[in-house]
Amino acid sequence: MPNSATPIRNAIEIRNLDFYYGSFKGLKGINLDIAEGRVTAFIGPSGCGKSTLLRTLNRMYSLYPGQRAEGEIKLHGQNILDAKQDLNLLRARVGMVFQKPTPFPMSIYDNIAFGVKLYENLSRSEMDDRVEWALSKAAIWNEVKDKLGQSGLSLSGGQQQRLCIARTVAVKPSVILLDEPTSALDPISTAKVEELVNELKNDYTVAIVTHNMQQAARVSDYTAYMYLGELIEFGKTDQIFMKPTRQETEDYITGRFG
Amino acid sequence: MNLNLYKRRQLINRIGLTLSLSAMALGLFVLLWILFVLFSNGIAALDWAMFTQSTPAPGSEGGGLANAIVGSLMMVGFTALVSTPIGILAGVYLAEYGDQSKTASLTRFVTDIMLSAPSIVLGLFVYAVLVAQVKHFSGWAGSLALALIAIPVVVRTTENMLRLVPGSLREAAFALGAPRWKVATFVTLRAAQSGVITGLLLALARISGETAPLLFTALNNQFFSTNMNAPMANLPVVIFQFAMSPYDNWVRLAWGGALLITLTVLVLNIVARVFFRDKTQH
Amino acid sequence: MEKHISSQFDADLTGVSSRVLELGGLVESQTRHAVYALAQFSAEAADQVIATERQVNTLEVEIDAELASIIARRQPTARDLRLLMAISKITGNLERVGDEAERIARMVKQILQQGSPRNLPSTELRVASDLASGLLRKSLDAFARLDVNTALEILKEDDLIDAEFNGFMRKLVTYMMEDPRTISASLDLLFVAKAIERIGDHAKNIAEFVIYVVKGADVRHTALADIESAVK
Repeated sequence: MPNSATPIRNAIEIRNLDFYYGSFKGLKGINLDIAEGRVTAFIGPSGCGKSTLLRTLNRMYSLYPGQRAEGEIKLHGQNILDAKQDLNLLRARVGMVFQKPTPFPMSIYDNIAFGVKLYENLSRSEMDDRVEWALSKAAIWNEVKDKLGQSGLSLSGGQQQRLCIARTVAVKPSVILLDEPTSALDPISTAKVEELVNELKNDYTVAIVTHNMQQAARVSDYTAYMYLGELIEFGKTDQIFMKPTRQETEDYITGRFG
Repeated sequence: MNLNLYKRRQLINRIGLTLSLSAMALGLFVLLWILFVLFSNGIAALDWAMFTQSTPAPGSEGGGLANAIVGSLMMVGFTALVSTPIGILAGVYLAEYGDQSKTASLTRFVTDIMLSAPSIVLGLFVYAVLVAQVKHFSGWAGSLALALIAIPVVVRTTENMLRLVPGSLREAAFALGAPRWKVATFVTLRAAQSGVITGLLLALARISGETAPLLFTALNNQFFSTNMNAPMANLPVVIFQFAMSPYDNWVRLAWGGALLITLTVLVLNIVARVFFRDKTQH
Repeated sequence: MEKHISSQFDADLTGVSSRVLELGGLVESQTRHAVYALAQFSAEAADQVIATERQVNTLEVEIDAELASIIARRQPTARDLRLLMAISKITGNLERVGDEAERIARMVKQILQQGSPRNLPSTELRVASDLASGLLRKSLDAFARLDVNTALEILKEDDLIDAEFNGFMRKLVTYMMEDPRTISASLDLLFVAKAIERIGDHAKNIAEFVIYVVKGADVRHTALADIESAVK
C-alpha cells in the first residue's frame, strides 16, 4: 500500500478542457488532477460526459473526424492535445480497457504479444516471460497457462475481460483507463476485476468510469462526479460518499436524483 | 380481448405462410429440375476420357474436354491471383481508410457500376483495348475480362465484411498504440477473414461460368495448349459451341461440361458456407 | 470463514474488529484498576482509571467514523452487516463500561476524602466486582472468537451479579439503620455497587450482540429459555 505520507504527484493534469461533438459541447471547462499510483473514478448519470473525458486522455476521439478537444491535458508534464503529439506513442503509454471484452481473433499468446511487438523487440523466451507476467498480473495465468495456443474467443466473458486487461498491462503503460470494465460481467467476475484494480494501483495510475457508483466507492481513492459535461465535485472517495460538499453530489449518491 | 382481430391475424398469418412456402417450394422445384436435367444428360459424358482427351474434331467420336478444363482452370486461376490482392486491398481501403473521402465515394460508385455492367460489355472492352491492339486472342485477355467482373465483387464483399467487424475491436487495437495499417490487417481483416474468403470463393464461382467475355478475348482452342498468349480453350465457350451443333458427340460433351461447371459452382458455394458458418459462432 | 474476493474489504473488517478489541482491552484494564482501587482504597489506582478515560472516548469516536466509512464504501450485507451493526453497539457499551469504571474511581476518591473507609462493608462487593470484571473479559473473548456458547454462559452468569447486588443492597440498608452517621458514605458505596452491576449488564449486552452476529437473532429483551431455543 502506498504510504499516505508520501507526497502525491499528478500523473495527469487537465486544465480548461472543452470537448465538441461537431457543434455540441460535450465537456465544459474541466479542471482536474489525476493522482499517480491511485485509482480515480468518474461517476454520473448517462450522458454526463465521463466516457468522453476518459477518451480524451488517450486521444481516442482523434479516430473520428468532427470530434475535437480544446484546452490542455498534461501527461507527466507534456500536453497531449498538442497537434504534434504522436498518437500511437501516446496510446502505448496510456492503455485502455473497454466495456465490451474485445479479444483479438488470435491465440491467447498472440493477443498479449501483439501490443508488445509494436514497440519492443523481445526474444522468444523474453516474450514468453512477458506473456506469463501479464496474464499473472491479470489473475488469469492459472486458468489459461495450458491453452495459450487457443483462440482468445474461447474464453468466458469474465476471462475475456481479464485477458484484455492483461493485454493492456503487457505493454507497461504508465496510465490505465477503464471504461465501464465490468458492465458486461456477472457479479463474481466483477468482484475479481475490482480486486485486480486494487492490485494494479501499486504499479499504475488508474482512471475508471463506472455507472455503478457503489463500484466507485469500493474501488477508488478519488471520485469525480460529473453532470451534463461539467465536473460538479471532485475529492477523496471517503469524503465524497460520506460528506459531499455539493448538494447535487449528495442527491445523486443517495438516489434522490431527478 | 378482441377475438375477431386475433382470428383475422391468424388467417393473414396462415395465408402469408402458405404463399412463402409455395414460393420456396417452387424455387426448390425449379432448382432440382435443373439439376436433374443436367445430371441425366451430363452423366453419360462423365468418364475418364473427358478429363484426359482434348475436344474432338467435328463429327468424330470420343474425345473429351481436357483442354477446356485446363484452359478454364488456368484463366480462372490467373484471375484469382490478380483480383484477390486488388479486390481485398481496395476493400480494406474503403472500409478502414477512406470512409468520408471523395476518392472512397468515387471508388464505391465505380465498383457498383461495374458490378451491374453486362459481362459482354466488359468482354468487348477488353477486346478493343487489348485484343485489337495486339491482333490476336489470348488467355491473358480472357483472364483480364474475368478479372474485371471478379474485382468489383471482391471489393464489395470485402468492404461489407470489414464493416461488420465491431468498432470496439478496432479501438482496442488502436488503444495499444497500433498504427492504422496494422489494425486493418492484423486485427480487422483477420476478424473478417472467413467472410472475405467467402466473398472470394463466390466471385470465383461466378466467373467460372461466364461465357460472353471469353468469346471476345480468349476465343477457343481445339487443341491442348497452355500458352496464355494465344487463344485458349475454356469450358463455357466450348459448351456454347458444342451445344448448338448437330453432332451428337459434341452435344454429349456439352452436357458433360455444363454438369462439370455446375458441380464446381455448387462445391465452391458449399465450401464457402461451411467455412463461413464455423467462424461466426463465437 | 471464506475470505471476500476483495482483500481490502477483509482488511477493513479485521482492522475495525481489532480496534474494538483494543478499546475492550483499555476498558478492561480500567475496570480491573477500579476494582483494585475499591478493594484497597488506592487513590493511585483510581487516578489511573480517570486518566485512561480520554483515550477511551477518542477511540470510540474513531471506531464509529471508520464504521461509517466502511458502510458507505462497501454496502455490506448479511453477516458483514450484522457484524458492523454489532460493533457499533458494542463500542457504545464498552465506552459506557469505561464511564462506570470512572464513576467507581471517583466514588472511591470521594470516600477516601470523607475518611474512615475501612469501616464500610466494601469487602462484600469484592465478589460482585470480580464477577463483573471477569464477565467483561469473557464477553470480549466471546466477541473475538464469535463464540455463541461462551456468549450463552455470560447471559446466565449476569444473573449472579444481579443477585449479589440485591444482597449487598440489603446489607447496606441494615448497616445504615444501625449507624446513621455512615449514611453518606454508604450511599456512595451504593452508587459504586450500582456501577458494578451495570458493568455486568454491558457485558451481557455484548454477549447478546455476539449471538446476533453469528445466528442473526436479536435476543435483547428476551427470556433466557427462549434465547437458548432461538440459538439451537
